[in-house]
Amino acid sequence: MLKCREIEQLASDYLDQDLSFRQRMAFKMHLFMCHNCRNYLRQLKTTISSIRLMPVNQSIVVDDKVKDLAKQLREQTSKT
Amino acid sequence: MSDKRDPHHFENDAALIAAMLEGDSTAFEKAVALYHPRMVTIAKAIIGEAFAEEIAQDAWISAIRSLSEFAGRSSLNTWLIQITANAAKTRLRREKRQVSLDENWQKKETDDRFDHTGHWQEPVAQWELETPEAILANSELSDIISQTFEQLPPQQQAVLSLYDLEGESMTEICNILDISASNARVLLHRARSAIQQKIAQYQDND
Repeated sequence: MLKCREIEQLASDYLDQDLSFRQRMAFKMHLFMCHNCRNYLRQLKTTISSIRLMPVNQSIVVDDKVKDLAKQLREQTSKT
Repeated sequence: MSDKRDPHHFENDAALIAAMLEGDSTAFEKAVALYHPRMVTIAKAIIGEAFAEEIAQDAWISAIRSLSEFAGRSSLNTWLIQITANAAKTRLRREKRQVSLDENWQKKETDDRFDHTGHWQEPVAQWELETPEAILANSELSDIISQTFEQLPPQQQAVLSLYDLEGESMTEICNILDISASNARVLLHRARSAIQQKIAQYQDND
């Protein structure tokens, strides 16, 4: 019987469908009986979806540091 | 909505590359703003903090010099990450030093969320903000997620970015970072778990 600590450690593998059939069954059996782990798994699932929705591509920041590096790269590569 | 008036807006990779080849300064700025932080993350994960910025800049130079040969078989992002990863690995070999990153990744210190029998110390509550949309709509929580992400150890941050943000396969991630699959999966879970714990802390205190 898996312990809660082991469920925590295997939770990403479970959600990413990366567990063997046996491990998956043992995982589900524990979930069936443990509401703390069911809540934990729901929390982790929500966390992963939140991470995936993070606006990485939309919010680019063109600050002075970016402008300086862009300028430096443009100059360095136009000389050749 | 204001994209068309935004000088840093380019329709796609091809438009951005074409503008860079013409020496368009806004295209360079857009490319640097978008890709440089990711390249630094990858370099840090492979060779560590000290060389990361330099590696990323060198990778830019070689990428820009061969930009006209970029065939578009992969996305520009993937291509830049490959160039950065290769540059970092080459440098790592040259430095002939074993850079120790994200030390103790395999040695998990005792996790105080569990008691000695392996059960949760405290009951795990259902979150009040239960959907990702509700979580990200809360500006404090959204900041907490970004800050936790920024503060992750380099290898965890790189695996999380590649897997959850960019949708790379585990096989590809192991190739890019030169790590084993089991190592990558542990790093991924550590990273997700760090963010989950920060969200839980916020929701428990609310």
